[in-house]
Amino acid sequence: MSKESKSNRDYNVFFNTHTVSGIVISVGLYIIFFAGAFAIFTQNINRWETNTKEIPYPTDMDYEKALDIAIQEGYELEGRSILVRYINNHMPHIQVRARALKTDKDHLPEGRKQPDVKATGPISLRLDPVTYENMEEKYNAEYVQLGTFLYQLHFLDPIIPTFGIYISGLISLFFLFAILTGLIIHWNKIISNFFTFRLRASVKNLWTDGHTALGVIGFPFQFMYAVTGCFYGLSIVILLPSVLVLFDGDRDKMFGAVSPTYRQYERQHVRLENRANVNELVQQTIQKNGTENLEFVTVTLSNYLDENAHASVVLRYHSDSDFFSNTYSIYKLSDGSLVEEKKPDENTYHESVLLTMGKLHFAEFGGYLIKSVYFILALLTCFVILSGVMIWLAARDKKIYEDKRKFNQNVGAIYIGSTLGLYPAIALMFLMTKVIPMDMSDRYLIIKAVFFVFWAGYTVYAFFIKNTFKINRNAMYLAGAMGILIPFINGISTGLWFWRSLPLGYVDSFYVDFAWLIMGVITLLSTRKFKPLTTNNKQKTTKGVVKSMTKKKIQEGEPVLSANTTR
Amino acid sequence: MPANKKYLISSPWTKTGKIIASILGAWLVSLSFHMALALWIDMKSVLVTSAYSIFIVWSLLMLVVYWIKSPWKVWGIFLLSLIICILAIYFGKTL
Repeated sequence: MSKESKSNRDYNVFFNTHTVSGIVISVGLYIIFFAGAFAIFTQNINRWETNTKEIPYPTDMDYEKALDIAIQEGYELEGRSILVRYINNHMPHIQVRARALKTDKDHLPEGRKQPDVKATGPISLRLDPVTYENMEEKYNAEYVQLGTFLYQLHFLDPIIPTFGIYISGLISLFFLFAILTGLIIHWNKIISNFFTFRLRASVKNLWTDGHTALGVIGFPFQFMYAVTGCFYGLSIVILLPSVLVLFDGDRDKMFGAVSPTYRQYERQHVRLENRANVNELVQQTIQKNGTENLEFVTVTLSNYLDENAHASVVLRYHSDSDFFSNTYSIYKLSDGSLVEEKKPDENTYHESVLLTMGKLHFAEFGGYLIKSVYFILALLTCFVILSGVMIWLAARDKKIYEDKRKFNQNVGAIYIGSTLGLYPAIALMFLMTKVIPMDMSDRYLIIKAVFFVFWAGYTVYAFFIKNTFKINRNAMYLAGAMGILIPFINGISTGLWFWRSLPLGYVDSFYVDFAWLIMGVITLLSTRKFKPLTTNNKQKTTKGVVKSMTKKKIQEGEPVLSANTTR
Repeated sequence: MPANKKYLISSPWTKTGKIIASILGAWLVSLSFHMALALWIDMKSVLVTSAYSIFIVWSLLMLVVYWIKSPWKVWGIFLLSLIICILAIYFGKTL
């Protein structure tokens, strides 16, 4: 094979894999990015829904009392690793968690032959932050709210229960593959075509230019999400084998190797009679580092009540100047002496990797501005996905694909309908949360049902009309109108109008209302620019064309991505 | 402008073989390579790095699957690297 045809072969092969992998994941990836754009604001949307303010993280939590409650609930704590933390979200609660106690037949308590199954089973308690009572039922009934639902939707959990997260991990992997192949096939024209945006040449050229230009601009963002998405979705396929092969199946050893705060200490099997007070250790750590901007405290007790018990106190701060701003102290529980400490400004590579991935993925390193930029970049990625589907459709809208035309049209209508229908469906869901009273039973079952019925209904509607122009325009009409309604319905139903919420300190309520108002207006205004599809056979004007292309070339309708003509 | 068919694979066997190689084969090679590195270089550094690098290497190997034309060659390269990595893991653990 000559060099010329080898390079042609590579181009065509990567072009094909880019198309196939892109089309296969398109709808799933669109849902992930669109719902994910909203999921960046999970807690903000939850607070908007419940009309609550963000409250500062409490520093006076009683850890000893939480441990006592766990004992009262019938759990044996001795020898376990117990996690206790206050979760400060829309439904504040105290979490007490521990894995099942390892059955160690040589060290059973006196007078017992077999370990008690319930007492040594895994612990997962949620306690009321004021009364310290078990609030599991209330939690299960009320925890899922709009923001939480959109967050779960972004890893496809409500659509494919349990396996949604793994499916979305696989989609991330193919997405990583698709953006790499996309970069390869576009490589030679990355500079020249970057400045090409032929808005009026033809619809196909508009899709192509949008797909490539926004794909290149969004590449770093998309690459970050593809890799971190793989990690969150597929970590099981890398962790499980590593634990089995490198650590002989001992999960704790692996986590201990990664971070000292997960480290497990050798159990001595000698009961600790006098131990330091956990509350005092936490207070000591907080006082050392300050209470200002404190965001999260996690306490882990390993080998609880054993001679070699340790307590690790991890503090996380919100800081504008420091990306990480976390610190931990590990104490020996027998006498409360400090064993190990990490100061807020000492950041090692080993302990920063997972933290960095989390901060990048969840946009946790800035305020509303960073989150808003993420939101816009996520929507641009949605445009890249959709325009990819549109190029695929336009390229097949030709005589030589006559026998498959009907099939392609159907696939296209379902793709466009289900993706664009998501926008009005989410807007409808925002409206529903303010229309349906808070204390109604099965409130979220109704809201979810309406959401899914509307979404499915829009897809069916799209399948029957098959006109991408109408599918697109009508989705935007619906979403825009409902988006503008959202702040007003919120004002009417709760009295918290968006011009009152900000002075009263309800920042999230104001932000969500105001963002929907702007989004609704922009959505409706953009529909004025919509025009029915013109295929590339019927070239229209050359007005407004970017200078880098000559008039003649555009009139000839030169395909931008064609391999063999321009290379 | 779909890709020119004359450069693409038409045999369904070859297609399936390549898809399996790009998902399963690339995963195994990337995973065993990182494990071998963890045992021979620095356990802690390689472990935390693998949280992201495993997926990047995985996707690059997927590119290799389609870049090399013959599926036999792809599987040959993958099996060879797999054997080398497994030997490295074996000796890394026993020595």
